[in-house]
Amino acid sequence: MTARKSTKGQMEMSETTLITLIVVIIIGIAFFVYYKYSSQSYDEARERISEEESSVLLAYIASMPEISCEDNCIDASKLLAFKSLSNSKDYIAVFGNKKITIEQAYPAVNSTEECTALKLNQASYPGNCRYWMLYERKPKLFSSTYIVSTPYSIYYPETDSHGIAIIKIEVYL
Amino acid sequence: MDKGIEFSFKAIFVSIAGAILVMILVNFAVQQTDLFGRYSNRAIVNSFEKQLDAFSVSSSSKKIINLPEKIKMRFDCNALITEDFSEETGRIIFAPPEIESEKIKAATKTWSFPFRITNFFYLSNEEDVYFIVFDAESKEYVDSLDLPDFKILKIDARNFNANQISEQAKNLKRANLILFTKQVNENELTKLKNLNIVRVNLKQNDAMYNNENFFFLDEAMLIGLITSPENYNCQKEKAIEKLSIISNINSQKASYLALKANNECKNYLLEIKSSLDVFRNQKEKNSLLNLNEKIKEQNNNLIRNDCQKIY
Repeated sequence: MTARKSTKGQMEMSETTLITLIVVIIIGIAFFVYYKYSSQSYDEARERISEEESSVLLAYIASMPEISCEDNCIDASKLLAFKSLSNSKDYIAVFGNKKITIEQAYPAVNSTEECTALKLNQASYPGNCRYWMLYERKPKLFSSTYIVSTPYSIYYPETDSHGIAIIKIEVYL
Repeated sequence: MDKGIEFSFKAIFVSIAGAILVMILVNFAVQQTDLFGRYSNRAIVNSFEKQLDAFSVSSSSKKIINLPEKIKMRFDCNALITEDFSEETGRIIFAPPEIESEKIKAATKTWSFPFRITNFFYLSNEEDVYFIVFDAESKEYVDSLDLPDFKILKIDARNFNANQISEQAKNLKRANLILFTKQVNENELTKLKNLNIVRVNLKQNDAMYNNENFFFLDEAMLIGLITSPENYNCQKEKAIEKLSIISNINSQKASYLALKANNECKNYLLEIKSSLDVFRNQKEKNSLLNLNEKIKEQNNNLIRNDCQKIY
């Protein structure tokens, strides 16, 4: 009689434990699904905010006194000077993890090389180089990249002439 | 008796398991609320900064910045701080120490000295009031100031009445009194305990606030002092730091241009380069003002002689 009661009790105990375990598993699955959904929506929000920021940054870069002329253009003679300063704390706070280049589009150039002080010394400048690297900060780990760009007027004071350049921002996410 | 024990045991077991589950759920809810709060504050600060950046493309502009919701934002020297989020900023923002609103009055102005250096931002709570007191000598200057669209009340020193100002400012969180005159009785001013009082000396390009002397270089800086005496000095120093950076860039530009210039232009370019090199290391008012004039003249020399100008 006592043994039967004990078996019944054990069975009921097992039932309770099993139900609790199932409830815990269901809650665990619910948490997992919720986290998965949240992290996906956070990633999407992060990408959207980043794209908006980059578009504002494009307009901002073109108007920065560090590289712009007085009349809505980029001053090519300031680009090399700015490059030597752009990795300071202040600019890192503004630009973040990005690569910013300015590429000559018109008049077309045959070169694919970067414009450096050495190139600037040559008589064929600015036709002897394609782009100025303004800033680069690449994180060790990033999941994706995308590029935003815009054309802008560029002024070459050495020859007192204007051209068209592409401001390009590569964003590391 | 056995049944009773069995029931008590079950009840204890279910209570413990239930309590653990409830604790997990409550902890999760708290974490989520906290996360959403931080996310929301971050989004608001980002939206605010984007509006400032978009705004700064203009050389002079005034607007009301609308935020998605009411937020308390503190303006430290180098950071925008909300309850649980802080964002470093290199922008030069003349703002009250704290703004609590979803609408912020804002203005921007390009700071050129003598070349374009940066944009100054001026911010104000909607209800903040700025009393500007002038006399016959300073009237013309005060009238010509291109002030932001804040609540600005201009008062002739002859009509200055401390009791009246005190009454007007009584219910305000913050009010500034800017004196462009020495004709106001100091005893009268002691009645105005809750106001930020700034005494401006236009002849010396300096001002006194909280028993400290500050200098300003031009109108754009003076407006910063009028709108934000509390954090003026720090923003002024940031502006001078930026002046140093742009001077350095212009100095290097002069070197590059000199490489390909004819002898006459090369001399003018090297002259201005040398001034720019001194300029970028200056922090003292008179030297900055004198060099500003000298660089203007040297740049004009370049233009007059058909050489490449620096700005």
